[in-house]
Amino acid sequence: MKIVVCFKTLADYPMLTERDWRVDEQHQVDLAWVRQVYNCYDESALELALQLAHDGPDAAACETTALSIDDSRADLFLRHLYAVQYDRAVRIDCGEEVDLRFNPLAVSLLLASYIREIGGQQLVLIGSEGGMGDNRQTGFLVAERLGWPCIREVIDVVPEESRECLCVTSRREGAVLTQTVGLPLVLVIGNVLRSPYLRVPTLKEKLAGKKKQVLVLSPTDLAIAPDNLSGNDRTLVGLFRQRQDRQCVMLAGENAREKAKTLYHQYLAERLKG
Amino acid sequence: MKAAMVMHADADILLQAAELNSLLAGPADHLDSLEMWLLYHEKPPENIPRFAYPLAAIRLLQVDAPDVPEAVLHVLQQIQSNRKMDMLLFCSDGLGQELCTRLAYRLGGSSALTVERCLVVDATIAVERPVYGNNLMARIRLELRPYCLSVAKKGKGSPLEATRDTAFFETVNLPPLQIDWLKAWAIEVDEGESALAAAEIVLAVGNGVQSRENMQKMQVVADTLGAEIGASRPVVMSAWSDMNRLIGMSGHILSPRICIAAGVSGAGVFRGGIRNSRFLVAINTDKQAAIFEIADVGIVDDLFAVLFELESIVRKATAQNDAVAAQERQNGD
Amino acid sequence: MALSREAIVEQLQKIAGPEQVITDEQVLKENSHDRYRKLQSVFGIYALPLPAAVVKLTDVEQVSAVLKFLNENKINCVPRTGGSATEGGLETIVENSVVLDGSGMNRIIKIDADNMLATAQCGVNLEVLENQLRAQGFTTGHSPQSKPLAQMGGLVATRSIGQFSTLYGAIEDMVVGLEAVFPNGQITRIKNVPRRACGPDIRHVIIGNEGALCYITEVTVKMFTYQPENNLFFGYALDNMKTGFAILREIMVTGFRPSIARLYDAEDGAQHGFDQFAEGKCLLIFMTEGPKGISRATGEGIEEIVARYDECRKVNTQIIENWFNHLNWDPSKVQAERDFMRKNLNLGFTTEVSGNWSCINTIYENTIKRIREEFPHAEDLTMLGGHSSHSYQTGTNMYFVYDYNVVNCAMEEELEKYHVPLNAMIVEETLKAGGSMVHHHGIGKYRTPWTKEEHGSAYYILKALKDVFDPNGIMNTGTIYPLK
Ligand SMILES: Cc1cc2nc3c(=O)[nH]c(=O)nc-3n(C[C@H](O)[C@H](O)[C@H](O)COP(=O)(O)OP(=O)(O)OC[C@H]3O[C@@H](n4cnc5c(N)ncnc54)[C@H](O)[C@@H]3O)c2cc1C
Ligand SMILES: Cc1cc2nc3c(=O)[nH]c(=O)nc-3n(C[C@H](O)[C@H](O)[C@H](O)COP(=O)(O)OP(=O)(O)OC[C@H]3O[C@@H](n4cnc5c(N)ncnc54)[C@H](O)[C@@H]3O)c2cc1C
Repeated sequence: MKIVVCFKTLADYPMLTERDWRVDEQHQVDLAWVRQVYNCYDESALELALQLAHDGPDAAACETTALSIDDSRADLFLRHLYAVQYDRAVRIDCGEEVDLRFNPLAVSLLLASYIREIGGQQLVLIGSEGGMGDNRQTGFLVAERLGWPCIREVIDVVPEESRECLCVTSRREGAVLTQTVGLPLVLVIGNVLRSPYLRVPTLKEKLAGKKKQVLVLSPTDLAIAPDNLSGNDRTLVGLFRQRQDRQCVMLAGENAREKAKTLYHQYLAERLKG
Repeated sequence: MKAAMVMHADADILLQAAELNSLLAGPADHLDSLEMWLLYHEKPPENIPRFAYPLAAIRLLQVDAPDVPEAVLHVLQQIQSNRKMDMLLFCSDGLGQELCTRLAYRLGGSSALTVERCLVVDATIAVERPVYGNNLMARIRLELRPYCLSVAKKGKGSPLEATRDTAFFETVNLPPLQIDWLKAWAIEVDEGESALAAAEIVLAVGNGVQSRENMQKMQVVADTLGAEIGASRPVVMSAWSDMNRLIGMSGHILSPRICIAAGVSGAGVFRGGIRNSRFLVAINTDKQAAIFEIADVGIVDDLFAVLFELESIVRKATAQNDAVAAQERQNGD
Repeated sequence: MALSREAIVEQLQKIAGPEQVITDEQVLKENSHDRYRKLQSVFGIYALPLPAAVVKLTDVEQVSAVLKFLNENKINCVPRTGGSATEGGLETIVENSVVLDGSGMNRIIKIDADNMLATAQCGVNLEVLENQLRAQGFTTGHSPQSKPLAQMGGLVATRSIGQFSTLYGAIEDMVVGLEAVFPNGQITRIKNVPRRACGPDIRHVIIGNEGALCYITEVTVKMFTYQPENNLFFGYALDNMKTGFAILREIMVTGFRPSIARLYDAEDGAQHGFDQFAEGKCLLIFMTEGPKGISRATGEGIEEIVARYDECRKVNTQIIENWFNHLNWDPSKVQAERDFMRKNLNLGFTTEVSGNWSCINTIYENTIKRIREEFPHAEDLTMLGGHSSHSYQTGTNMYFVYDYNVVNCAMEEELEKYHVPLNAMIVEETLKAGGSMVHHHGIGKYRTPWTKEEHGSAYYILKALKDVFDPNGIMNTGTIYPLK
């Protein structure tokens, strides 16, 4: 089985303060100085794929690929993925001119083209949300482009006993769904309780990972003309910070007891009655 | 412009309707007709929401594998090829988002999810939706018809009223899709979800709670306050609380009467889940915590100290009220 | 004859009141250890003898009465406040020990803006005190990473140090006066004066005693003017630690006192994401503060000195400022670490040492080399590096950081297999080069095999303190002083 995990790192937003959210004329926010982290959904997906591939009995027959569309800043992460034993680390670089933030159609075109033309994987894992545009559509669109079935909000996947199929668990509104499915398949990964964090590579593995080459591809390598990327079903026309319209009153008091009293008597007593 | 709302009878359609209804405010004046496409599995629903806009038709679409979006898409594709809508509106849940995205792709239209506002600008559709981890709002113009939108979760709000007037129901029969990749499936109902979604009072607990044991103590506080417990991602990921208690862009979006957020730092993605609370209290030891930016009242202190104290005050007050009520009843006799 | 567990509890209840004496098993378990055994505690393993009771202390007279009782009956006690100790100082290794928990003595007694003195009980959380001071325009100048966790008693008892030490000094430079209770019940108060020459400075018997000599009940520290608006940040990427040490030295001996002066090696820097901005590089970080002119002049001085080293490349200061704003460990970070340890069986420890300028680079290089070559489980290491974070006129510290995967070993054996030998190598290399084996966490219970070597002939003085003040050996047995 060949597995590909599509991931995108993102700026560690909780590190930013109110004044850091400045949008310029080109609808850009300067986040170059903010540390990037794995999107938590992608991180779960990356670990889940490793467990699926390496911890089963036919580990030797499995091949794992980590794939990201990003600039060279992602190479650090891709080499880290080599260190945790990904077989391939691939980056698609579209250059600075292409703005993919609000263009999941183009993102899915790149990913699907790689999978079809070069990678040849049968199983795709992809985080359910994240990325600057928070589009939440990439996984679905990859499935559409490949013409494969897709399961959303996946929380676990293990090989089925016969090894022909996968056993996929996903969340539905108010329910948990377990499906036995064949390949090929796209899994959109949600909150994975079993393996939220990526394993930690040893020093030796890190060193080995650093020596490996990340495969960098351009859209042309995937037979995609630049025009095809700029086509989009939508156009960003504004980006702004919403004003917070509440004024927080900070309750003073000698200690917690007094503050709790004030909270109850001045604010909650009436409201609790409904 | 002709629009259809795609809804599914498995979930609470009155709530779905309330969310969709709010989206219609923008394009309402430009609608020539509005219909509802109601997907159902075994039997059609009896109650139909009463919309603020007149419905031209309600079309019932039966799908035999409701948990297989491919099957649903197949049905929707066929009806759209007959009806040729300019705009398709989808629910806020996972299914709504998936259908919206994939159908738009198949139809060559435009799509956007988590749409908070829909506007008509110069005869084109523009939407506003949260981006950058809910730290910014984007305005996006949709370029291609049909415009497919999945509405942002709104929290409970007030569900639309129901009508039993099924006069203009029309059952559409379409050939189903053969699904060969799905070998077996089972679905297990997971209680609790609706309790939080419908709660008037919510105690939203974050990583500051520190342990499963402490979380149990929070349950005692919540019981006394008459609140339902909700939790941030780290809390559910540590399994201190069930996944169906998750609040935020990937979980519940709530708008209770009172929300007490304790020990949450207030990441944008979390804030989206409680921002619409009518009264919001934040308790955090860190006075810089971002949660205070959206609170009505803030307390910089240890959450346990404050909440245990509050619990005991409320417990006493309740006991007193009960006693007074009992007294009055006696006097009345 | 030794008192039974039940009798100890009964007597303590009489002295301190029944509500103050806790015997709940979960509480006893949590009070039997500190962060030295953090992995075991995540899995609910408590291998040490559980204390007979935890006594919630309320006031100095009660402390005196409790200590007197323990002393008369030769019952070992373990003082405790914030519980953030990392070196086993809180472990109850003796059967039927009594934990003396001062966290309830949490009153800020006085903020004296005239004399710039802040007096607090031992259980006052440093962050609480600091926030109160800042609200009035002052600061303690003390900012250990554990600021949200640690309390005044423990901070003084461990000779702790904060991130701004290069300007404000460490806790021993901040403490003005103290109140402490000795095992025989004697309450002692050292008055608050700016300086005196009235015999040896007896504060130093109390500061750093790690609960092995006396119980600290109250602390008075200096206050400084808080003017964060003048803070300036500087960051430089460079290739070698050796160059970095040389720059730190030059800045110090030239006479500049930035509040932060740090040097990360590439491995440790990567933990903070610095590799994203300067891959494979060491990183120098400075913060200057104080009155505007001084802060600016210090910054200019630093820039001028660093400019003379071709190896250095300036890093966007926003990166540094952002790093700085997210450095401290609050309880939620501790929680996140626990969750991660449980799910990944991966954890990290640190060992902090110091050395003069002439030997610090040798300590750094030899230690890293030795661990790489000699540590039998080097293949399980996931991180090995360190940083210097506190510089002085005469030298600096080195804070070694190492993480490992726990592989093929029972939870109970994890420390013996990994942390103990790693810690030993660092201590040995440091002592060999002429440095000090503990820079700021305290000796605790695991670096005691080297206490005598550390002090050499001066161990005579150290030992005499124990003999005189704690002749029955009831104060935190096995801490600082090796078990006989
Ligand atoms: C794509 C994406 C989607 C996400 N979606 C969601 C989502 O839907 N929901 C969600 O919650 N998260 C989501 N997250 C995670 C989110 O970024 C934050 O990590 C998370 O919300 C932080 O949770 P927290 O505030 O509980 O924890 P922390 O950030 O750890 O904050 C804990 C807070 O508790 C305070 N505290 C500690 N002890 C005490 C005490 N004794 N008394 C009072 N206060 C105390 C601390 O000061 C701190 O502010 C998402 C992340 C990504 C990348
Ligand atoms: C995440 C983290 C970061 C840290 N960062 C730093 C740092 O930057 N700088 C630094 O110096 N240290 C640091 N430490 C170590 C620790 O925080 C300090 O040693 C701190 O001073 C301990 O204070 P506490 O109140 O938690 O004491 P405790 O952990 O309760 O006790 C520490 C020691 O002091 C003794 N003791 C406690 N109270 C008293 C008392 N009233 N009288 C006598 N003895 C007493 C105890 O017996 C024990 O030996 C860090 C620890 C953690 C977990």
